[in-house]
Amino acid sequence: MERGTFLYGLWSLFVVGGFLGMTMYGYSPFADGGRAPRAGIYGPTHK
Amino acid sequence: MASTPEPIVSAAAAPAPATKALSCPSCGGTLNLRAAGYTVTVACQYCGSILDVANPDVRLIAEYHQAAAEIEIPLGTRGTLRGVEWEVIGYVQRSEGGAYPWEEYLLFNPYHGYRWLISNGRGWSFGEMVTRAPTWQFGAVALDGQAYTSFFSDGRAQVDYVLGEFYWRVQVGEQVSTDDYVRPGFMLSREQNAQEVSWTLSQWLEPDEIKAAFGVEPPRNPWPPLPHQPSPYRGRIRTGFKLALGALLFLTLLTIFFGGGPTLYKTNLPVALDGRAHSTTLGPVTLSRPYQLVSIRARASQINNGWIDFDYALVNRSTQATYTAYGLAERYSGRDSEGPWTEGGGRATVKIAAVPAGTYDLVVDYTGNWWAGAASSSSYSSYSTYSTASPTFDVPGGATIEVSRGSVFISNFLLAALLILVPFLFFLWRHLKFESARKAESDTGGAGSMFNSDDDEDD
Repeated sequence: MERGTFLYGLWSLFVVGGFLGMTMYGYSPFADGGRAPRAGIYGPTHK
Repeated sequence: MASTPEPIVSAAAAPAPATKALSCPSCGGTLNLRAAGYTVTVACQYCGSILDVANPDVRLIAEYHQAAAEIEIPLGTRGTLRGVEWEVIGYVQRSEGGAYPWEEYLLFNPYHGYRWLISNGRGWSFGEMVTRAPTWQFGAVALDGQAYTSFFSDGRAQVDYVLGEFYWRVQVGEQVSTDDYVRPGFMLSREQNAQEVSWTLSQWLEPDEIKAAFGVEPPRNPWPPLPHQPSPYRGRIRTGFKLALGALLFLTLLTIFFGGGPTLYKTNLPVALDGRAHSTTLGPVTLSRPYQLVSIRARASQINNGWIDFDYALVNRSTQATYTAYGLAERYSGRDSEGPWTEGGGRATVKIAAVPAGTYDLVVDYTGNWWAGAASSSSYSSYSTYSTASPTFDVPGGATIEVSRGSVFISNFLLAALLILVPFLFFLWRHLKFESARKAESDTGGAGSMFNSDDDEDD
C-alpha cells in the first residue's frame, strides 16, 4: 500500500475514533453549555 | 524509428552475434559493432561520419568531421531493465523541425532484439516496436484491447544527430510524419514515411527504474508531466475515495446509533410576555452514564411577536457543580408590502456537553418579552390572540421544558466529515491540476480519462 494512502487511512481512523470518543463522552467544542447568551446580549434575533 | 528487421532474433536458433571491430574510413577510429549481423548503419563515435556496414566492405555514406556529442548514457553501457540486460548501441537526437527536441537510445539484446529508451528531459520511456497494427475505435486507436486517445497529431519528426549503430539506414535530416496516442502510463506512436508505417509502444518509466538500470539521474517531479505520465495521485484518490466513503458511512451509523436519547424530565411552565424575570427549579434529573450530552428543549408553540429568554443551570445535588446554558424561543409574524411573514418557531434547544453522572436540579430563569415593534406594525392588528392594548400577554399553553440524554452533536459529525474529506479533496485537487497540466500540451484537446487505467498502480 502506498504510504500516502496508508497515512490517509490512519488519519480517517483517528478522526472516526475521535468522533466516537467525543460521542461517548458527550463532548463537543460547539456545545451550548457554558456559553454566554450571544456575546452577552439577550433579546430577539428577528429582523 | 524504423521498423525492426524481421525476424529480430530467435532465442532458440540464432547464436548471440559476436562483437566485430572495424575502422572508420573517414577518421580511422576503431569501431566495435555490438549487433554485428543486424546493424546496417554506423555513425562513427569519433567523427560522426555515417558508414554503411551491411556489406563486408565498409562504405562511407556521409562524411563529417565533428566532435561526438556527450550523451547521457554512453554507447556500450549495459543495464537491466524489466528483467533483461540491454546494451546501448545507438543514439538519435530528434525534434519537430528543430523545436521540442528529444533523445532516443537504441538498446540491443541478442535474444530480445531492439528497444528504445526515450527522453525529452522530463522523464524516460521504454519503447518497443509493435508488429501488429492497432485498430481504429471511435476516434481512438486500440491495441491488445486497450484504447489510446489522440494526444499529438500531424507532427513532423526529423533526425538531428546520430551516433552508434542502427538496423536501418539512418540519415541526419530524414523526416517522418507522426501521431501519438496515450493512455495512462503508455504512449502509442505512429511514424510514417514514403515507404512504411511503423508503430512504437512506449511505457513510462519510474525515475527510480531508469536510475537503477542505467545510472541516470532522472528529473524529479518534472513539470508539465509527460503526455502519458500517470498521475501519482490517481491511486490515492481511488483508495482514498473508498476510505472516505467507509469512514463517512461509519460516522453516519454512529450518529444514528447514538442519536435520540430518552426523555429524563418534562414539564410545562406558565409564561407571560411581561418582561418580568421568573425562576423555577425543575427535577430531579438523573444521569446514569459516566458522561453524557444533555439536551434541554423549550417549546412555546403559541407564542407570537415575542420571545422568551431561558437561562439554565444544571446543578448537581451532591457536588453543586453547575452547568449553564442559554436558550431563546421566539416567534414573530406580520404583514408587509411583500405579504404576510413569520420568523422563528418558538423553540429553543440547547446542548450541554460532557455532564457527569449524578442527580441534578435544573434551575430555569426565564423572562417573556413582548415585541414592542408589533404595536406599530401592521402585524400587530392581525395578531388575534394578543390584540389587546395591554403589553402583557399570557402565552397560551405556556412553554414546555424537556430534558433528554444522549443524541449526537451534528457539529461533531460535520467537523469529522470535514476532517476526513479535506485530505481527499486536497489530493483530488492535485490530481486535477496534474491532469490539466498534462493535457495542456495536447494539440488534440487532451486525452484519456482521469481515472481509467488497467495498469493499476493500486496500493
